[in-house]
Amino acid sequence: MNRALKNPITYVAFIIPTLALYALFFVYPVIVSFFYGFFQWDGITEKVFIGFDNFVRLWQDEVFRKALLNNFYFMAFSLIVNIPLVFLISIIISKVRRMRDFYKSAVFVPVVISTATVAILFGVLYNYDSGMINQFIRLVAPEDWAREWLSDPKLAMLSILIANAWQNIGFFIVLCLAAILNIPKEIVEASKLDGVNGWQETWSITLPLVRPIMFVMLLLTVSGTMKVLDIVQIMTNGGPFQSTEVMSTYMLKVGFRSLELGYGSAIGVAMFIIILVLTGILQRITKSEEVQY
Amino acid sequence: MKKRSTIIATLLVSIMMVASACGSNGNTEATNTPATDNSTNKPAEATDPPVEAKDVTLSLRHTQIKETSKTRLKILEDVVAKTQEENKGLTFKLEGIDEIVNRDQKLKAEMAAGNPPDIFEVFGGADLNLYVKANRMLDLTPIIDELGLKDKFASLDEFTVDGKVYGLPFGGYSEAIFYNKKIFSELGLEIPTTWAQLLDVSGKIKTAGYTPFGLAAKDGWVNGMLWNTVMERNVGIDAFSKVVSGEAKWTDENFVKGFASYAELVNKDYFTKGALGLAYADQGAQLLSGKAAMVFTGTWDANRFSGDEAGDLKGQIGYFAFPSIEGGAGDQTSINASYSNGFGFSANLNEDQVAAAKKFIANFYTEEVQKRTLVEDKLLPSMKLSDLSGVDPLTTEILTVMANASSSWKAYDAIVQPAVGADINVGIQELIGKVSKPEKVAEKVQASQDKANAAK
Amino acid sequence: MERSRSPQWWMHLFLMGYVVVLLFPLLWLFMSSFKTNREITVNTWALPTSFNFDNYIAAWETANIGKYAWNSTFVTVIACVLTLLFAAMTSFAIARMKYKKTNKAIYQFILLGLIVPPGALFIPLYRLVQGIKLFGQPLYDTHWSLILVYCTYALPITVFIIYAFMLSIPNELEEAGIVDGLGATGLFFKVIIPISLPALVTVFILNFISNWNEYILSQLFITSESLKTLPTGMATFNDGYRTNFASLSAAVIISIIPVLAVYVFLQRQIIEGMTAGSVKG
Repeated sequence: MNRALKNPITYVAFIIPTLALYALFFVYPVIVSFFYGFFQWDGITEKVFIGFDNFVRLWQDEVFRKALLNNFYFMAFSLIVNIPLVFLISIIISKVRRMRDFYKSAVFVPVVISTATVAILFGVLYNYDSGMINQFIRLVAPEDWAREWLSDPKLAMLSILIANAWQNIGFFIVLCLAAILNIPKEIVEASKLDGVNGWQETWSITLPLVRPIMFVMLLLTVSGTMKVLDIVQIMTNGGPFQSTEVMSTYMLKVGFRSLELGYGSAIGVAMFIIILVLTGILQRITKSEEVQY
Repeated sequence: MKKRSTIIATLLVSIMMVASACGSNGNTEATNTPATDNSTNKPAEATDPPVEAKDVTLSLRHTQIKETSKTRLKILEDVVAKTQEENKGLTFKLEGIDEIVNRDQKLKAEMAAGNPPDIFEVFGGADLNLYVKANRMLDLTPIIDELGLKDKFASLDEFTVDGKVYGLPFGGYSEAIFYNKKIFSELGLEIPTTWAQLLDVSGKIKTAGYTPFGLAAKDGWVNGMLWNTVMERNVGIDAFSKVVSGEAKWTDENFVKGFASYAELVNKDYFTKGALGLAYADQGAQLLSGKAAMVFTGTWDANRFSGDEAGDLKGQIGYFAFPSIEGGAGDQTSINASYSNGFGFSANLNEDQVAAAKKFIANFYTEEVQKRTLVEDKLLPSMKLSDLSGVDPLTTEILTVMANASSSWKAYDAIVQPAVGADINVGIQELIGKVSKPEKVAEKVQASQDKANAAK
Repeated sequence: MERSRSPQWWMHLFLMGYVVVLLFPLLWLFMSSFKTNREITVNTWALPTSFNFDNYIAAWETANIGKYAWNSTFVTVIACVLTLLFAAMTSFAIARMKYKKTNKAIYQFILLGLIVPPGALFIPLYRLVQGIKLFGQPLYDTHWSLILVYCTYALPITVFIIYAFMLSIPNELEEAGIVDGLGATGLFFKVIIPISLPALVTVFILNFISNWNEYILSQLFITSESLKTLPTGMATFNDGYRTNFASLSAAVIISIIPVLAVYVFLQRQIIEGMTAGSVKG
């Protein structure tokens, strides 16, 4: 057994294509971009080496701090609302006997739409005056319950999060369903003989067995929400008055619009380190849980 | 460390140079290199005449890829075709790229590497200054002198650095108030000429159940337009340069007054509710759907306002100058007008290419092309036109407003540093969201100004 | 059949409610694709007055959808297949082969790809692609520039997901293969790949969607009109100053149909087939 799976030639051949592409198109640009972080540079004229000045400035930058908090808000919402919803819906779909195909396809539809389109679509839905959401609210509730969804700094972030959930939950459901439906029927049958009923089965069998996928979803959520860009950029572009600014939108604004590519790169480096730490923590937590289990 | 990056950069540049040299040598095979897996993609080159010593190729980057800019692209293509016909052996390679991707990433990266396209669309002002500083732009002063174009342009300000011209605008715009004539006549309103009248008119419009000013405030520059004119009326356009040089401060009395005038419109609820969440396109929709009576914006929207989307409001949209503000320090009948969309040319062009570029300029910057652009695309001409017949009523109103203006000036974001411009936009949004006071916003903008001035 | 006693109607009710909320915006988009811009501006939520296909015709012609869709299909399919192949090979090597330390290092290294914000990389990446020659031909302005870069940027998440699935495959299956005389390559193609198909299909679809919709890189790398991809056509209707909602919605509907078709096809043919098969096996 060990011999078949310890074949250095196959091993190298299987790994080289990935690593080669990765080194060329990924690692190299990352290094270059990190390198810019140590310069004062408008992107065109001579760079000026300024050591850690960009990072010192970042440390004191209130907008960056606000953006970081918004990223955490984004992450917390996705972890607390999206993930449980994903599990709930996946489990229910796995339990229904009829129309499973229909549900599986229907939940997936929003996923295939580009973020740009999703943002435009929700922009129309959220419109204060003519938006469907406010029209519905006015129909069933007092007029002043209608809200300025995208322009009230207290609600704008939440509105983006809802649009984001609408678009992204479908993929996670499909992923989660694939894992649930992949659980060998023998295990389920065996547990049934032990007198385990439907919801107990979910709790004691399904959830533990989809743990690897759970980890996948958690990690994708953490890294995805910390570097989120498109949907925020198109829906509010960080506004109103930077109340929905996230690190990526701020990075691009600083780097391209304000012509401070050096500082923009420094923000990129900071993001990298923050996400690295968070995913590291996540890996620790899941690992220690496995040991307990 | 610096040396090393210079070496890499030089290497990159020299690779590019070799590549572009191959391209301009005129060998048809060489110019066709990129399309390895699609050999039929450049029919124009396949029909090229046999290799001649004088074969010249020029790449031309434009951003007219949207449905709304089809007309403008057609006009450009016609000029290119004409120039190619007149000059055997001259080939233009047109490439259309998304405007934002080009401005933020593509052109910038190419400028840093020193290999921009031969001819490209460029914005006057901050972008151009940077490229000139890096010696990437061809000095066009001798060419326009030779062609006798120098005095034909409405303004070359935004493309002039230290007395030299580095780009030529192909169109311009002005910013003032578009209004719904139907609502105005229904409510018996006159076009306001003073601030007090404007407030009065807005009040009546609001009482009648319409939105006085349609606004979509998601993107800072949109709010910046009206704010800019209100501020100019209060302080005069020179004051904007003075804050950059440090002679004036945003917290000076007149500036604070300007912020306060703007805030007055906000506090009387004359803007669209929920404006901060709306994208720019929505602002025009508010006017065209008959919900908003006025919209302060640039003349680039004239095409839309006189098109099919206007429905029964077609022909009912007018344009008037922003009113004067009593006691303000600015030029009370001036207008924000700018000619910042233009073509620039690469400093890398060789002699033959410069000669070819000259022919393009001679064919593109003519009264005829400008007139055609005005009539078909409703883009304001960047050159002085002697014949204005055949333009539609809204364009006529726009041209009249501009002709009556006592002076014109360019927008604040072309004067102050980019970082300050960004903070001004945030400040205006704070006023619109009613979370800050004019004095507070002025202080914040000044703090940003101090920082930007110190960095220089 | 014993379980059929548990009532299912409330589950259907719940799922139906969710699906309605989910599909409502799309239904509106679909409706809008039959309206004129004037109708959309004035009566945003009303049903179309008539079902005319003008927007579809306009979208197809103006946005060059016929040509762009072919380009997108070519780039997307090749990039996805390459991604899947490379990612599956790498995942197999690091999940199943016995090189503990290297495996861990490579896995962590590839995971870094999930962490880097792509927005920071556009400029260096563009300059890199401009400088590369592949078999003596410049890479810039070819479909291969997109294919290779799409492939690279899809690798981290693909490896990550496939790796998680491959880890959970029981050793017994492999041992059976080894008894049959299979080497590492044989195990990969004959045992591991078939079992991992559901996961492979899932990430294939994920990558398909993101490549299909990618806009910025395609604008950066492709300058020849005849090589451009579908999102370029979509962007035609939205220039920031003015959105042609009618044509845009028609174009969106056209562009999502192939993706949905791919999904439904793979879903029915492969995932279902495999889960059924693995139960028997």
